[in-house]
This record gives sequence, structure tokens and C-alpha cells, in this order.
Amino acid sequence: MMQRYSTVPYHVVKYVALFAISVVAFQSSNMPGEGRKPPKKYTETITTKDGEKVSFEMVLIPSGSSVRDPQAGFLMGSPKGEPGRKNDEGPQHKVRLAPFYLCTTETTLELFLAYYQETMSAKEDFIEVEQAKKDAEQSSPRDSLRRNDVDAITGPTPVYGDLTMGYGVKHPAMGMTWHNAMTVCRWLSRKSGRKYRLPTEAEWEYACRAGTTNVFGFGNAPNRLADFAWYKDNSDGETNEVGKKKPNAWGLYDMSGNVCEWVYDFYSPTAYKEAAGKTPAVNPKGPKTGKVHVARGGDYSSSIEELRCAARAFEEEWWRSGDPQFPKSKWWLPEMDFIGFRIARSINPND
Amino acid sequence: MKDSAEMTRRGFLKGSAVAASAALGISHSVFAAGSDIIRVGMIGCGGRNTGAAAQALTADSGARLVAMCDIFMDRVKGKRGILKKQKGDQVMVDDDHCFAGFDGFKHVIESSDVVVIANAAKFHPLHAMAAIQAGKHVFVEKPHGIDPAGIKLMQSATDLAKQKGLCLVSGLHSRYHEGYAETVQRINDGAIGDIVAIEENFLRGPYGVIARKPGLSELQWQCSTQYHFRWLSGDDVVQSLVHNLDRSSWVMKNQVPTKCHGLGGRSSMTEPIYGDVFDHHSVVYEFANGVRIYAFCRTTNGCHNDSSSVVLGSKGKADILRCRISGETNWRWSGRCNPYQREHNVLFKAIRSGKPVNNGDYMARSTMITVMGQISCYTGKEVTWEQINKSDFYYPPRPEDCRDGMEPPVKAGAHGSYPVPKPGFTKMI
Repeated sequence: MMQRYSTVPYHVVKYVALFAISVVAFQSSNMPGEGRKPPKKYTETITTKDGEKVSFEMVLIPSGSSVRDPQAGFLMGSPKGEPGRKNDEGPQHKVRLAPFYLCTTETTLELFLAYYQETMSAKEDFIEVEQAKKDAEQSSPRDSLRRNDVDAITGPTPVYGDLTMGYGVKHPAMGMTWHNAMTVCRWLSRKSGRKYRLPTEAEWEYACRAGTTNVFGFGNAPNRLADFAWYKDNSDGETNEVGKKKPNAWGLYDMSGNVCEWVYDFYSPTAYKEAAGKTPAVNPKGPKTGKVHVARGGDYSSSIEELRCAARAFEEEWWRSGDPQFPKSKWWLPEMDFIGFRIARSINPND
Repeated sequence: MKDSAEMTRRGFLKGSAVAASAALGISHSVFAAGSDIIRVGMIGCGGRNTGAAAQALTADSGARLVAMCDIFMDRVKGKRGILKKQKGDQVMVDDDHCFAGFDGFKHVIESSDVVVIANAAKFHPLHAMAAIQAGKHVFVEKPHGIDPAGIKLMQSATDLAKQKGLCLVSGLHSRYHEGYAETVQRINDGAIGDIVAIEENFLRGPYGVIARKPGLSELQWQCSTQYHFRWLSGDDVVQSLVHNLDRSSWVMKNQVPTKCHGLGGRSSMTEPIYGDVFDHHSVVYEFANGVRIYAFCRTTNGCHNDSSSVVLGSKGKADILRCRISGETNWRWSGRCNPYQREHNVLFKAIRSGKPVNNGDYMARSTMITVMGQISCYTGKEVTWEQINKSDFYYPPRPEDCRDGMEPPVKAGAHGSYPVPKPGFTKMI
């Protein structure tokens, strides 16, 4: 039995079938980072292992500064006196950002399921054994560099239950840990050849504000929220398909509500006080260390206060309470259908 | 966010553990030779039982983990380290109280006041019974047996616990979920009219598969990947649909189905690493009043996923996992509940107060419902409630006859794959 197991590559056939070649949907003249001027938006399309194409749109978020005013930036955080403000939103401080791309929608289940299918590792040691077999059999590493790269990503362990939680594929992906969201970005980068990542907290807030200083991206009046956001008053307690409400001025949908969105930064209640000391902060990435990460924008169950551009949420202990195991899964926040993410990308490929 | 009464669709009870511990106050009983310490032992050191131990230690500040066992000593030591890191001084397991092998449970029971049991389900009845015979309280994960013989033993353990005034708490967490409880209550109060049918789904990817590490014997290998072997886990209707069918049984006010017929097989999980279980099952149950349950489970990647318990009534429907009722009545539960933690809060409160809690009746009944469905899938025959209760079928060997180093009861065939039941040919009861 032992002997047979180690010599028959049961899963090799399966793994070969996993390889999918990514397809680039935009023309080369539009290639971000390769032309002189980055396009204002482009569509990324990947092909799943089943041969299905999944697309999403990336929009250019302009720099806050310009040649005319290189010192300009945006004010991060909320002013004292803003209704619903919490202490961790202050002090307001100036932040300067390089332009970047941000996905117009929250990451969908459609994309997330493709990632899950291609990278799911039943158990890490299982993958290691299979990988070793594959490496040994690999005759021409050069022409398969890219596919090896994609395949080398160890993705999530099987979810405890059903990861869609009953939602359709155009709904936001949800219930993944920050680590899992980061791994999606790595997978997508290998698959597309473009380096995708989570936005930083500063980038997220800047994009949400869309060049304004309003409480909400569209203005200050909460009675217009229902046009832009799924939240407590109109969501019926569930997420909705992405992109069904109005976008903000920069074409971004669901920045407020639906699911809250992981960003790159660790959470610290005093992060802004520290950042304010070295103002203006340039492309800040948050505290160097920390225990939990920030999640922005509020979700389908949020009150008005939690939908403000400046409102900050972060992973709390109970987010892991749907996981009966210990240690808790590195990949999943079972049953937590309110936490998702959005994909970002630097203009400079070296960032 | 979500720090008020606001909540997720399936919400969670924040801070319940703290509140429960505070409410305990002065204990009414004396534990562990004159102290207020409650000694907890772990039978099984997988991820789920380590979670159960952590929940026990969270539920009661006087709880101390004192003994642990598993088939594998490296799991015992590994999980002891992880728990120690999280729970500090509440973890007091010295090397002399780390046990490995099939008989480890006996030593853990000796050392403990309460045992938490989550290992291969084949052993749940034997280990629960041994603990109760020894006068210990029990938390035991689902399923509560894998065959009629085992479930009968669990029923005896239930009765004995009642006689002795001991607690027996089940890991069928739905009954501890406040949102599900309120939804079921509303169904029973007539919110959807008369129940017509129930649809139960648990469709998702396979359980984790583990590469067979060099040096493991065939027996150790099978134990290390127990979900994929019928003689250890009882297969997926029993393992997974037990939660769904427990909810169905609950909604049906604990009535039992009179009969069922099931279909099942393997379509994609055919390599040896998947052992000898099926990867898809459907079971139709029928009750005396004509209500039917249509129950489905699947463990296949790349297919439609669904985890739901939907009750169809003459005036509407109820989606229990979403805590929603729609139709003539439209209602949705708002709240947050962590049923896994609640199980232990209730258990330790009951121990402290001297008012025992016993979930044994529904745990045995719900598990028996799954076993009749599973056996129907294997044999291809209709199975009645009467038949399954008359049967003394068990997957050999008997749990008490399992010995370290024994030959496992199933072996791989010529192509490395394990033999599986053939509906229409296989006979079990």
C-alpha cells in the first residue's frame, strides 16, 4: 500500500488539469505600467481552470498631488464634531498618495470560487508531497514557469461548511481571513502577470472620498445613502450583488455598505496620532506590527455612522466564533458574511 | 461596528462567556478533593476537541485541563502546547497525563470530573458510557454513534446519566443557537401553517485529505484520516447531515420518521486517499403524518454548494440557518449567538448549580435517523424506523475490541482502492 501510494501519481493528472492560462483582455497600448500614460481604466480577465472567464474592472485613482501643487494631498480621518466620530479617526492628518488602480467593485464570489478551486490545499503536507512528485517529473521548467508559479500557491484548507453561504456568484466573496484575502491577490498576480494587492487604509479612504471632504463619498446627507449603499435600512439583512447601487464620483461601487473590506494595514487606535507626527505621510502603510487588520466601509448591517468615509472597523474576537475548532482557521471566518475585500494595484510595478 | 444589538444574518453572542462565568458565583459542589476546581479531560486531540476544551476553559474560570488522549501522542503534545499558550494556567497537563492509543480514554476519565469527547465517532458511545459509569460529566460531539449498536449504547448512557444526575451535553449545536431556536418555535407556533415538507442540504467540498506519511501503519493511516473510513466515521449522512436532520427532527417536535429510502455513491472521490466513503447521498424520509424530508449531502469540488434547512409550510417557508420566515408571516431574527460556546456555558453552569442537563434523548434519536438513511444508501433498500431499532448491526470491530497494532477491518484492493458498498447487493441489517 505504502509503496503503491508513493509511486502512482494519482493527483498529477488532476493537477495538470488545474493549469489555466490567463488571458489579458486589454490591448497592449493600454497596458498599465508599460505605456507612457496609464489608462484611466482597464478590464482584467482571467480564465478559470474550467475555461470560464471572469472579469473585473480596475479604475485609475488619481494622485492627490500634481505638478502644479506637489504638496497637495488629502486629509485622512474625520474632523472633531462629525456625528458618529470615534477617537481612532483622529487627528486628521495630511496624506500624499501615488496614483493607483482600484477595482470598481468588491471581489465577487465568482472570482473567489475560481481561486478556491485552483489553490485549495486539503492539507499542507498533502500539497508538499504532491509538489515534490511534480517537481521530480517536471522536465522543462522554463516553459511552465508561470503555471508552476500559480500552482505553487498554497491556498485555503477546505472551508468548514459552504463558503458561498447560500449567496449567488455576483455577490461579494466573504468570510475569508485577511491572510486569505492577501493570498487571493498573490494568486491573481501570478495568474495575470500584474501585481495585485489590497489597498492601504489611506488609499481606501482617499478612494471612498473621491476627492471630496464629505462625511460620505457622495455628500453629507444621510438621506441619500440608500442610493449608494446597502446597509441596515435597506439590505434586508443580507449582502446584495455588487455594483447595483450608484457609484461614487470615481466610479467605485459599494464603498459604503454591503460587505466591509479588508485593507492592508494593521489596526491601531493610535495609528493616526503617530502618522500625524510625520505629516504629510507619503504612501503610508499603517503600523509596522499589530494583531488584527483594518476593515473599511461598513456592511449590510451597518448603521449610518459606520458608513462614513472615515469610520474604521477591525477584526474582533467574535469574528472567529463561527469556527468551533482550535487553533482557529488561518483561512476562514465561518458564517461571517459581512467581511470581504477589494483589489488594488500599483502603477509602478515595483511597488 | 456591530457592537450594539446590530448583527449579522447569523450573528453571534459576544461576551457570553464572560457573562456566564461572572454569573456562576459561588459553587454549590465540591470538586477535585475540596477545591472549586473542575478537572477537565480531553478524549481526542483534533481541532474540534481542542476547540471544545478551549470553550470549556472559557466557560468556567475554575475549569482546569488535566488530562488528554489521542491515538497519536504527537497530537496530544502539540495541542497541549497550543492550549497552554492560549489558556495559560488553566492548562495543567503534565507528561504523565498525556495518553496515546485506543485505551487512553480510560486514564483520562480517571483523572477528570468532566470529559470532552470528539474523536472518531465510532468511539463516542463507548467513551461517553465509560465516563458516566465512572460518575463523570460529559460533553460529546456529534454524531453520537455510527451504527445501531453504538446508538443503543449511547441511549443506555443517557439513561444512566439521568439516574446518576450527571450532565450529558451534545455537540449538535443547532439546539444551542438562539436564532434557530426562535425560528423553530415560530414554526411550531404556526408561522408557516402546517409543515408540508423539509429540504435539507449540505453540499460542499471534501473533507481534508492528508498525504500518507512514511512510517504510518495501515491502521494509523486510517485513524489519521478517519472521515474517509466508514468503520470509524460512519460516512457523510451520519457525520454531516446529522446537524440538518437534527433540525428537521426538532421542527417535527421530535417525532421519528417511519421509513426512508436513500441513494448514494462515489463519482469523484475515488482515489485510495478518499478511503471507502461515498461522496454523495440523497435520502427521503417519511413521517406518519405524510410529511417528507428530502435530504442531500455531497463532498465534491466544483459543484453547487448549499448549506440549508428549509421548512415548507402551507402558509410560507422557514429558512432555519438564516433565521428567516417568509410567506403570510415575514420575520427575521436579529441577534448574535455563538452556539459552540453556549454548549459549554450551559454545561458548566449545570455542573455548578447541581441541576444536570441531559441532551441524550435527542442526540440518540437524531443520530439514529442519520444511520437509517446511511444504511438505506448503502443497501439500496427502504429502511423502517422499526427495522433500524431492532438491528444490532455494528461496523466491526466493536469499539471496545480495538487494539493498538491490530489489523484494520478494511484493506485496499488490487488497485489500491478500498471496497465500497454496492446498493442492491450490500446487506447490513
